Amino acid sequence: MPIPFIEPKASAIADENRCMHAGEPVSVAASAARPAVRVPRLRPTELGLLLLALGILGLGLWQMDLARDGALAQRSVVALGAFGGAFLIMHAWLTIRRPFADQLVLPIAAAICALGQIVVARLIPELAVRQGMWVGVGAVALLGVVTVLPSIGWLRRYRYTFAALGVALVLSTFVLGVDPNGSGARLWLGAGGVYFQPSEVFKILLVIFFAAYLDEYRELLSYAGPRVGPLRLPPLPYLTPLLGMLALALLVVVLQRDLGAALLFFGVFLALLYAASGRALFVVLGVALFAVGATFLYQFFDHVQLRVDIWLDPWSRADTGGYQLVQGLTALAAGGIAGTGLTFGYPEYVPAAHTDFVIAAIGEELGLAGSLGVLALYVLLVHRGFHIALRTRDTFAALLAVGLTSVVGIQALVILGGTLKLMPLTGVTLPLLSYGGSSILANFILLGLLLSISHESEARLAAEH
Amino acid sequence: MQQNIERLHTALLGAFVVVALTLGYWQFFRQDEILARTTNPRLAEEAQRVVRGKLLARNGEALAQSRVTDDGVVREYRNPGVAAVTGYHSLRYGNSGIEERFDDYLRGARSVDPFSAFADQLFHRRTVGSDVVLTIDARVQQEAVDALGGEPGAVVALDPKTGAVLALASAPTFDPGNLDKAWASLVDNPGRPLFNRATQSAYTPGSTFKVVTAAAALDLGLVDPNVPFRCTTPISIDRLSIDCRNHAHLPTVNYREAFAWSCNRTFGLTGLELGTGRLQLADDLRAPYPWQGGIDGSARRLEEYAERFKFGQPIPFELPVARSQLKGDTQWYPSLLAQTSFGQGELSATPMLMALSAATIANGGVVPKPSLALEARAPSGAVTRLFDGGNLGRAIKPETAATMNEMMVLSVDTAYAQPARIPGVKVGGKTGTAEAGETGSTPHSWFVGYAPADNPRVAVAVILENRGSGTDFATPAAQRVMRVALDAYRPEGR
Repeated sequence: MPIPFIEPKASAIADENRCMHAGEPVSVAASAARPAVRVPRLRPTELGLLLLALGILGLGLWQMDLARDGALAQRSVVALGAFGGAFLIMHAWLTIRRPFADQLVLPIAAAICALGQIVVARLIPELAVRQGMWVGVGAVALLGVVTVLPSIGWLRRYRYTFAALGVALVLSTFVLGVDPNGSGARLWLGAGGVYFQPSEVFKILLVIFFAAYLDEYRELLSYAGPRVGPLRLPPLPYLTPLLGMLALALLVVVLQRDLGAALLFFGVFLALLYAASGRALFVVLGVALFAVGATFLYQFFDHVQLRVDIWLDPWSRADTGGYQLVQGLTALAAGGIAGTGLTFGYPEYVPAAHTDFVIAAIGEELGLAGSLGVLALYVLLVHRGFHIALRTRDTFAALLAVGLTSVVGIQALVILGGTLKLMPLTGVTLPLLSYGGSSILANFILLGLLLSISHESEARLAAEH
Repeated sequence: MQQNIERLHTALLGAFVVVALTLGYWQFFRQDEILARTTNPRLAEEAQRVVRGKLLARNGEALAQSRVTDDGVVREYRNPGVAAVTGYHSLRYGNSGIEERFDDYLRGARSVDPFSAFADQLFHRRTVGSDVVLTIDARVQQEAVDALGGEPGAVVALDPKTGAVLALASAPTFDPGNLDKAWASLVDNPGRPLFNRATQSAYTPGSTFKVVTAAAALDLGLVDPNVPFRCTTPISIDRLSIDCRNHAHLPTVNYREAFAWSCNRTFGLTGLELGTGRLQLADDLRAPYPWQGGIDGSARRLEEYAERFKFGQPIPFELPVARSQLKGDTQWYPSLLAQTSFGQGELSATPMLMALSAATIANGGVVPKPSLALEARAPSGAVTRLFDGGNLGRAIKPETAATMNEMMVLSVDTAYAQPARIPGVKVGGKTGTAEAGETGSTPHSWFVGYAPADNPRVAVAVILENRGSGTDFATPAAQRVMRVALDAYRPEGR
């Protein structure tokens, strides 16, 4: 089959709205039944913006090579080629398998990944190849999702299977978990240098389950339930499986001291509950429950107490527990508006600058301009996610899109809020940007699902017109 | 459900706006305050990148300079002898001395050209600091260091007209170029090599203080320096016997000779009688002595003159100068006043202050303001003048200074200060042999003086701790320094 995206650009634009030829494969059942639907042959917006993201990576690597050695290094050309190849293959395969899918999601992800590549190459050059490989693995995962997933509805059908799989994965860390990088928590599975964090995939499985379950009982949640005065309480019996699942997830991650994941799960759950029911009361009750739980954790767990104390006053603990936060804020201050320029700052003083504190490294060397740029990319990604949710008629697909988007958005907010001293610090990655294989892999799966939802709903919309 | 999703979207967007505002808060509004904290490792990193300005002697020799090597910027010093002047620059232990005093010039923080400072930052060029030109003459400095010979002591040499310090040496000293490695042993060393004796150590001045006592008596017109008097019988004050053995070979002296031969009896009496109308110095003193009722008045006058010579006063200088004192908290009593007047008692004086005392005589009675820096030279070529050349006020009348000058020349020409003689040059001076510490310990050897006496270009103070008489040790050392200074140093217009 010819690969359309290598055609000249002018013709690509002209081709965009041309009718598909009869007999050309269309992956979605809804549109496959109607050969008359106009399928876009090419995705020129995606291609153009991808090239822009590649340009960012190329310029960043080139700039660092110039600053370090005075000339472009061969490894940078290789890295750019591999990175570009991975995204262009994804682009090509989307053109074939998901031609209707949103064209902005992949370029935004590419731009974020490109910044991640730059940061790792800046801070720990030895890890740059590994990070590039993880992007490659992520690309394969995205291609896998796009290729294998028969339909979004299929996910709903196997919701309990996914939930059970997720729980099994996370429980397995209790037995087989290891702590390869000395973080103090045994959150990884694997051996021999390749490690994988099941909670990263668990969050996607959890969202699938939540979305499917809430979709099933959506009407009941909105209108049923015992009345107390003017308030209509949630219909607890119907919520039991959902709450049970949530409680299990929270229990597991809290026991494993993965507070960031707990916060993320709970936040995503509340977001989905609100999206499904529209009941602000549920959110209020949820936040109240959260407050009770947090108080409990604060009272009985020293490590939680320490996190909160550091958050309230890192400066007096600048040599001990507050060191990371103080150094992170100092790095941000050192960047100012325009930043020091890549390689000219001192982000290596910030512990975990390439993972949790990646915004400090970006803020120092690329300045407020760079850190706001990163923020803008997440805002755009979240916006596209909600846009996809709003465009679909299928309520399960919409809830799934909301959940997946919330995972990215809330996770970004949790770690950014932690590094910026807006809330206690909990260790989660900045999605797609931080160094870390499991996180990148999981997020590419997430992107694949989001793009599939978008394709399915857009194809249906196109068929209806 | 559409509406719910839209609201959720708005809520997340709002949260991102809060994060954006917080980024602005840390990266812009709190920027300067956070960066100034000691928790900011960049301060040390930036200091390491700066090519610090040179410290130059007045004739251009570099006393300290920075060199860019593969391992960073290295601070090099001409030799350890300059340490008392330059101090040290260490990323680990901070700065001291001139390195500390003019740090903002040396590290380029006081760039006279804000545009080039901005350009340096933009293009990540190393900041090049301003050079600071000192008043030090490298040859005089070297001679002062050699004259000390590494034994505990200090030398201060300065131009008595302008206060420009030509040499400032302290021993034992340290190598500022090897500070980081040697730090622990330097701190533990009982000889206290990091301590700048020239400005920080206050010693008993001994007979060199007679310059102040004599100047007070002459300035007040209490004595005719030319009238001879018989001076052989010790006086006893509070059971303390003060004798005339310093001039045992001269039973009859005038005030000039009593000064030149450093008579303790004469100057003990001078102090006691400063409050009276006329000094009674001759042998036939009988009790009750006139001072016994008038000790307060005498003490007040001695205090007044000591203050004019800057005892108990802060000395403005580029390096911190310890305060010298006439006495401690004790109330005056007759024997304390007498001992103070010939340079013992509770007196303490820094070598810097004693050099200023000699310079005051050489400068016609006006105390010069000591200075160590001439100018700062920015890399752009812009020059900032740092030298002020002012004075610290008049201590005595010009006529008194002229008489004192003759008396100090007499001391060098005929009496204890003879080792200070320089062929073909009139030299003025006063020796001191200061009892300090436990009785029986070897006294401090002192000399203060200046040359040429008719148009002084250099004034000097030398102390050698616990070495012996002023005549035998400090005076020849001072002579070496003055001789080199006269040879090397030609002030403009003189």
